[in-house]
Amino acid sequence: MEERILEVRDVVKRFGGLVAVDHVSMDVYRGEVLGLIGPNGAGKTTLFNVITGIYKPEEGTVRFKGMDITGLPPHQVAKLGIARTFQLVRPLKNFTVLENVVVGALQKSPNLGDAVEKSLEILELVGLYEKRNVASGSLTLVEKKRLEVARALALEPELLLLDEVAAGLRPKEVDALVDMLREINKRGITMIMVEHVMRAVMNLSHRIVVLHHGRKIAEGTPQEVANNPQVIEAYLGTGVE
Amino acid sequence: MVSEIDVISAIINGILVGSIYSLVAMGLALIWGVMDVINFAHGDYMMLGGFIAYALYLAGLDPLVAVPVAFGAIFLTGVATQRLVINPVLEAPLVSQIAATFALLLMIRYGAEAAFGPYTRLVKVSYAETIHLGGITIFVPQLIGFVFSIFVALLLYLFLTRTYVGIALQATSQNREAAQLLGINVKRMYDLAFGIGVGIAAIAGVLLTTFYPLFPEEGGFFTLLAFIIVVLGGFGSVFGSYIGGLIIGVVETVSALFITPSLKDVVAFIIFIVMIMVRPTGLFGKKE
Amino acid sequence: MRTGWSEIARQALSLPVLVAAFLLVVTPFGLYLADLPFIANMMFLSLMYAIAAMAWNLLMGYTGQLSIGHAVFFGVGAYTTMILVVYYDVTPWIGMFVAGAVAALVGLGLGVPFFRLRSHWFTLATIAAGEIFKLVFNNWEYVGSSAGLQMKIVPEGKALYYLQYAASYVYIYVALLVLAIELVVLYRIVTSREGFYLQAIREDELAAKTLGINTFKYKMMAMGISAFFTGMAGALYAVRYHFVEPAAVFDVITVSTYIAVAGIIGGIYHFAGPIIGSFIFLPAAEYVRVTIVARFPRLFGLHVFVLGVVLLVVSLFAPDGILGWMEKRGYIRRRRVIEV
Repeated sequence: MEERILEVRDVVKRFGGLVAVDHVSMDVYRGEVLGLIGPNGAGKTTLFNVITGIYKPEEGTVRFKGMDITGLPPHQVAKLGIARTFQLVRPLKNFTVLENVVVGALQKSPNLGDAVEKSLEILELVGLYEKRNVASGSLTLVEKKRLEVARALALEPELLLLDEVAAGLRPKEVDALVDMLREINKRGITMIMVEHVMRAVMNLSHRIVVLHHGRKIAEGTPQEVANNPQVIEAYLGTGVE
Repeated sequence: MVSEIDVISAIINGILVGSIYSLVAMGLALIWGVMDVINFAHGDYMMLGGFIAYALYLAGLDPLVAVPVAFGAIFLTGVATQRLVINPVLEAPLVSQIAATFALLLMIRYGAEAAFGPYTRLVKVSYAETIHLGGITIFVPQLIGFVFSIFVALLLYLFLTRTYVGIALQATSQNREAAQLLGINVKRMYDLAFGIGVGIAAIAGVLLTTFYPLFPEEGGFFTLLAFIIVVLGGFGSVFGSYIGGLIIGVVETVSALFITPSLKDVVAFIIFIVMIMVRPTGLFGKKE
Repeated sequence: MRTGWSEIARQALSLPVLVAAFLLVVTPFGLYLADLPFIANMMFLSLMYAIAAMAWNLLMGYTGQLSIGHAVFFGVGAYTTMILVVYYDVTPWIGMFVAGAVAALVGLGLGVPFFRLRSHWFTLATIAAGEIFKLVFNNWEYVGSSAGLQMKIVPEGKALYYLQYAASYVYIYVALLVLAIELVVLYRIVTSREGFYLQAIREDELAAKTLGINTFKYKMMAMGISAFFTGMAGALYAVRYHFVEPAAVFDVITVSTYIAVAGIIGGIYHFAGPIIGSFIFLPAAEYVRVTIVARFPRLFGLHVFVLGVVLLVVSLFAPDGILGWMEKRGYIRRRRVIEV
């Protein structure tokens, strides 16, 4: 039996009258890449925010490695080993690329020298080594997306949540990013990726969960999900907008 | 002992004085809502209105004649301020925006102090009388101020809801980008919002001068009150601010019956801090 | 990554720092010999504001939290020193540090609710806090209400104990001592892991949280230290003028705003910015006040007006202050935390 690294149970998150996440349950197994897809407004990012402690759910629980982390503040969730990227990139603009990564690295390596060394390795992995002394505010979008990933990796997470890292990239850039993420996954990091770019999700994910209007409507392998009539309906239904 | 009639009297007088606070706050709310800028010099534009009234009074006219004069003059000053000072820092970090309006505050308040002298002036209008109604005392200039304030608020309401420009202003306040897409000249809206905002404050300054001492530093207190009111009335909500002003006026006069008058403002500031902790909607406001 | 003492010593022994320190140490005595009490007072005030503005900037430039309520800590520090000496006969030498500690406690107390607020909401809350403190002290009989507290004239032999000297240059040395302590403490913080985290919070608080930083804890730390040294600046005021009153030490303009303006003019993103700012804006304002306003009392307030003009020019044309402007022009460079 594979180990469940994350267990989401009956999570409900409301904003005023709107139910953004409606009784969603899902499991993530250690070592896999789970794709989380669904039309705009399906509640994917909200679910990420619940898992990472930015929002507190009204109902339900989130367990990480068997431990209840529901409602823990974000910094504690991060320390436990869940790192994330943001859909709208949030680099620390006046920090250099290296400094951005070191902020995360210092969590596990309090010694600055060690943190810098580790950060440089990560920058090499994501292909930003040459840009290490550049102010992160001046990077291109692709580079900023890679920096998001690098910064998250610096936390040495066991679980990495990727929020639309491929959005806004050109096909070639997407392929390069997919290769990079596959390499990271091979190193033993479990991933959940929220993604609209099908080229990226279908390529990387072992399993896919589909959300629609805050509810889980399907779950399975990429092929199963792609052939699921409810999923097709959901995407076509909103495609008309 | 505080009698019932004292409380009623305090409530009425609170509404009268609060209606002046309301005008100051409406102007601040308009600027805040449309431009997302906090005008720390707001009360100082009000003070300038007071000095215009005083100048006309010295010339032998009734200070209330200054209402349109002060509005016009300070409106133009406001448009100039927006173009020269506010607009360049609109996209700047918060600290630069606040620094710019604080610079205005220092220049206007202490410029007036250097130009006119720091001392307090009193205007004595011919109708400076009190009416007694079964134990309730009302000062006539305050009553007149109240009537003017309602009139001005009504005009502003009609302007914002019945005219094209007013609706465009409201739209800009709701959603800047959408307004731009609709072909609204956002920069002109900023000119108008700032001009009208400080212009209305100047009217409040004129009205205030008929029953309250005038001095160059008076604006500071009113700016702070206006913040409290705008937050209470719902951030950015112009009409919520009008009601908020009346409430703060009443809170002040009524609490003065029970606690040391000089501590009554402490109550207002504590309400303020509590309000910003539970913001953003206030009593009548829109979401941030 | 805490800066070692040897590193601090190395930085402290660099030529420009040595020259500045030498001038600072020699000048007061020179002013005394030359009998220039006005300039000596100007120098004292510049130092006092520099201490407060440096402390303020730990919150602003490093943590991204704009306070226009530092008069709270300044006033609490001034009153603490005064209460201790007037009511309990405690020497200001001890009182100054107690003042810092009490101010720090007040800072932490305010931090708990206020750090739930973001951007300008935080600023507005600090302004309100300043007004509340002023009003409360104005009505608090124990501390002399609006009349304030005054130190008794002490016999000459006790001058050192009560820190009462006729010659104002003595106070400059006391202020220099406090500034030196503050600079060492602040430098160690901003070059440490904590300082690095503070700047991460300034850049993007949510991102900092998801990188494992307990942002509330670090903001509280910054607040405590900031309030401590601002309290000590207030203590210096009490010691220097032997008199405190709410209107003077809790003032939103001459304390809260001046402190912030000193930081903004000098440059909030540079370590020494607030010192530079204080030593420019204070002498300028004092010069106008003493030479022009004193001669033409009708122009009362002109010095503050001039300050407003300077602030306006800075915020329009050099928003990162004088040092930020120099950095942009390439005359100086900002010290990076990490360079590889």
